[in-house]
Amino acid sequence: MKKKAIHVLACLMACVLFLTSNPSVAYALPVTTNETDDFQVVVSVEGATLGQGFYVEPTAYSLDEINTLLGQEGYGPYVEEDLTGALVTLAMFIDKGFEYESTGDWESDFYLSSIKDIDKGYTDIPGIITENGGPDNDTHMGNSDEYLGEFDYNYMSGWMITVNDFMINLGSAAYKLVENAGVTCQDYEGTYVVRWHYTLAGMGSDLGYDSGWGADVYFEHANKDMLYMAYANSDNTIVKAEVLPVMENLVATQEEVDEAAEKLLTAEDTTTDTDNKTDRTPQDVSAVLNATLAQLATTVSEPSFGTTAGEWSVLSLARGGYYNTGAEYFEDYYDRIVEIVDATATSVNLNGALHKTKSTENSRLILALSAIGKDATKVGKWNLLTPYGDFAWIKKQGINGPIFALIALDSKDYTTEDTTIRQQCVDYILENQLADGGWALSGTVANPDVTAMALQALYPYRSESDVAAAAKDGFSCLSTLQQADGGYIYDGESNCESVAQVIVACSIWGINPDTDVEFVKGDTSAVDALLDFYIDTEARFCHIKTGGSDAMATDQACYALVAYNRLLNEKNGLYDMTDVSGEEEVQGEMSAKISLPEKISNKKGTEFNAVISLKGWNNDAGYKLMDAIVSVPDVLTVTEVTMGNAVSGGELNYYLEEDTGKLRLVYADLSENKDITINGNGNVSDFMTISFEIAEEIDITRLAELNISLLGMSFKLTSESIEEDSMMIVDITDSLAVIQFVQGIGYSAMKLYTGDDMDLISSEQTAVVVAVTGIEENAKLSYTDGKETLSLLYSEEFSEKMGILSYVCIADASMELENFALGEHYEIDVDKQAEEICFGDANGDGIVNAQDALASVNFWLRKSSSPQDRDILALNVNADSRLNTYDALGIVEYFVNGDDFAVVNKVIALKSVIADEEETETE
Amino acid sequence: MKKKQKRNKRVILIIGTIIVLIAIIAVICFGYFHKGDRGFFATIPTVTIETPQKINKDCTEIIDLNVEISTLEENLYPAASFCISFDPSKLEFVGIKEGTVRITDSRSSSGYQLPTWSVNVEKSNEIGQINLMYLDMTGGKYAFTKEALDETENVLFHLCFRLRGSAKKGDIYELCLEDAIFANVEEEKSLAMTTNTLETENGRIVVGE
Repeated sequence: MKKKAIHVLACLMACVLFLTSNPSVAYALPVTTNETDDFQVVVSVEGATLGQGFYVEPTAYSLDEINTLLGQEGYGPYVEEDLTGALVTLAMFIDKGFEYESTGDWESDFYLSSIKDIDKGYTDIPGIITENGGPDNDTHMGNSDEYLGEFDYNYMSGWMITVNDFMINLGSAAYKLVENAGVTCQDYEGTYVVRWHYTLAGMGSDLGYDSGWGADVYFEHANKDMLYMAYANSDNTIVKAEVLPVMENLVATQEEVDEAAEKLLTAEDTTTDTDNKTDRTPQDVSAVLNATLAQLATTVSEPSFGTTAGEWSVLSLARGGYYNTGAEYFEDYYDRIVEIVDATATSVNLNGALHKTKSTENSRLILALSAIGKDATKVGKWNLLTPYGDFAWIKKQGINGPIFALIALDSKDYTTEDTTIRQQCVDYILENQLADGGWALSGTVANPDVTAMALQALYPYRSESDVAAAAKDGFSCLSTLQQADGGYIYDGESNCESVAQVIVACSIWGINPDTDVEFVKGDTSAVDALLDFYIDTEARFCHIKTGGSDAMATDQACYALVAYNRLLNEKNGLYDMTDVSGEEEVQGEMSAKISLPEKISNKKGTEFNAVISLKGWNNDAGYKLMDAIVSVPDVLTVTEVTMGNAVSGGELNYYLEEDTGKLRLVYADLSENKDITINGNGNVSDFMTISFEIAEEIDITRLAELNISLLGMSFKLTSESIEEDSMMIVDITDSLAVIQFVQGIGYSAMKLYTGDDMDLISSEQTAVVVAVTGIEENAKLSYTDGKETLSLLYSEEFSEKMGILSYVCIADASMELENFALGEHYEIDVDKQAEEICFGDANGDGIVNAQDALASVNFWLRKSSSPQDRDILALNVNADSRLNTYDALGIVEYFVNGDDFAVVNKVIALKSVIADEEETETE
Repeated sequence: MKKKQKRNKRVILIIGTIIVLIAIIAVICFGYFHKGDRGFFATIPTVTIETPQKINKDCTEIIDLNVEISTLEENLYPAASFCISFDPSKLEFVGIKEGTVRITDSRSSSGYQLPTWSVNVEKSNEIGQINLMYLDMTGGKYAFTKEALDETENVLFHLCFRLRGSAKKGDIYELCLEDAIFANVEEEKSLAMTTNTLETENGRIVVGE
């Protein structure tokens, strides 16, 4: 797909270069080619006017990818002709996990006000803006919050959008890409470049575009679209780093832009045309990685401060996703660290330094803390960043100091008192580059470990031309040092750690160490070489092949596999922890939502549940009282209210005011005044469940649906809190939920998960939940659509959670979910009971215990034959796409802590598909 | 004549002996097949919560109860779990302490190490049931085995309780094993309460003066 796109781009580029050489016919496309059927949108978000470069580098999306992303928020699917500037923006926002402020609707009148957490906190406003009356670095208005948007830095600032080099002057939601191609904007034959620019002054004049507001442009902008397309479709990280400065240069000339684009395309063509790229398919290392992570979690049961059984193990377990932030394992580690840091920093007595000469002690700990979402600037009473104000201390131990200082500082954009420290580190590393392109602790011959680590540190600075050049030489050196077996020699021996560091460097830079021609020698890649050190009977790695397993080798190999796996899964680099949700995130706002079944029977006595979930919960806040009001329509009675399993610390009282329909709820421990605690911070999918019953049969011609919503919710630090600063007012704006009444039997279907071929669940297998209203409890339910016949399993856990009868099955992933919502496809046998499924209960004995956890491990270790559909349903307790050790751990946690299985909580948040059909009357 | 009678007696004796022997063998075989591969005379492993001596009603010390296993079979048990119920209004569960029963560990010099049990003290007190589990994620490298048992003392772990203020003389607080299992990869080789292949003996705390 990418190669094809590159060919198309090459053709387009050639045409553009030809056409732009004659101004009178500039961009008189289209280009004739028979390979332009692929629809692609390249989206970027830029802050060039602030000198902040890209917030989102040009990223390519296919139509399928856009629809998949939009589908996550209930939009689409769309055909190419329906896609607008706004919809592709929404897809990108979903992809990048952006929070934003906006007005209007994505499908009609969307207006982007601001985007959260992208402002880099510094300005380097280009002179062209200041010269034309715009603000400069000293006079701008600044940004007072975490959002970057209108009226930040300047009174004329805000977000503007261009599509195919045309600044659209109507709403982005009304601007259809296909319709406008060749009409108002350039036509690139199915490829669209959508750029969000932050304008500071002149309503886009500072971007060099005429926005139609009558202001003169400050300069003639260069059309960068071809460059963006080439960039988005290129895997060549080195050349991408080389051209990035041109892309980020607001006033780059067309010549510079074209030259950069050509450089990218030539690099791609060279690798394509000479067949210089390997044909290898990137290998899946998840089985080895998962086994190693599981082994680490078991053997390093109490990690502490240190080079082994310490920070590196924690880093692997966190970045490898083995434990989530907030897990008890990490919390216990952090508690130990706070004590150790206090004792060590006090003893060293050097502003929070943990060693008088080794800054890597601090750096290593900062990395681990960042990985588990802890604030390294506040570890007990110590700020681990403070000593980084002294560059002499950083470099005391040689080049390792600046390398790891940079990696640590950039892991979470930490700030230092001396803002030049980063540059000093970069300069130090560049100055110490050897003639052969690599780096070493001493001497004049490159050492693979140090070279790889230097490259890891330099990655965030790749847009600096000297760094890009140094990196090119560095990788070339690493390629030269690679042995015929794919590995690396250090101190005379081929060893695990060296190749591990090379894999980390490559993965961080986006170079696939398993397929890139530079890192495959003969038939053996760097990844193959690393796996040669793996001892599968122990799930550990050895330092040298003739030796036994080794803790340091295992640590480094494990995080190298994590880095490689993150590359394959397009996640942030190993050391880029900006994707880790930390403490500060959960201390912000809290919001609540109500989840209801989609359909219920209109009959008297029908029961269902409303589940209230929370977002942004923080145990550390110490709330002691929750009060809430829920609107209850008069056709309903409240039969029970229960707190979620994970919630503790209070006693629930509630009262339904029948005349007003308000259900008042209070949760607090009024005798012992305990804190309300919830197992885990952040999202709480089941905070509280309200069980309703229909009081009288409902005439659906008069009342087809009901609304239930939160009218208010707050958490208070004391039961008498009235001051705003001692309470958290929960955002309830999205809490309105609607339930539809049906006469007779109604079905709604939800997709629970689909396998990904990685661990025991094939991509052709989808778990489907069918909620049924209007039938006898636990009746046997069969699905048949002429092609497929499925017997559905009754789930008491789902039924109890949603308050409506729920069944599950494994279906072929190609089956339309809508079919599962059609009554005509079902046969109900009220005389027979459906077979039941109990999550976590592998052997179906009605008890979840060690036998079931072991069954999960055995499946994953392939000691048991392939799991049947029922095994998958019972054992994929975290409802992801795989059956693996996470599920075994989920069973342990369920057994020990009484936590709900994630699969049960997941079902609450699923969006149902309901069919538009005449409901069938029950027998 | 006497000789003939004597011979008849001997024949009858021999036949009788053979019949008795056959009957004994039949009984043994019957027992064997009904016990699977555990054998007729095999002792069923038993998990016992040891009952301590009477506790003074004003005792503020931690009450320590051994949970012991009598024996295991010649198999690997990579996982084990126990559910022990108690009255949380009378007893405060404060945690567990390591026992003496070890798991295999080829890396350790002794070849064994103590297992790490997962348990949630707070939740146990909330629901009145202690749920403990051990799981070897390698599926057998760190497993319970018969060889790892101590000849004299086989304490799986110690349960630690404190009396709550409402305890009074004469009270008896039962500690009941609701579920117990040593799991083998092949489920039929597991020792489980539910299949009567693992017996249990509950413990109690008796409050005295």
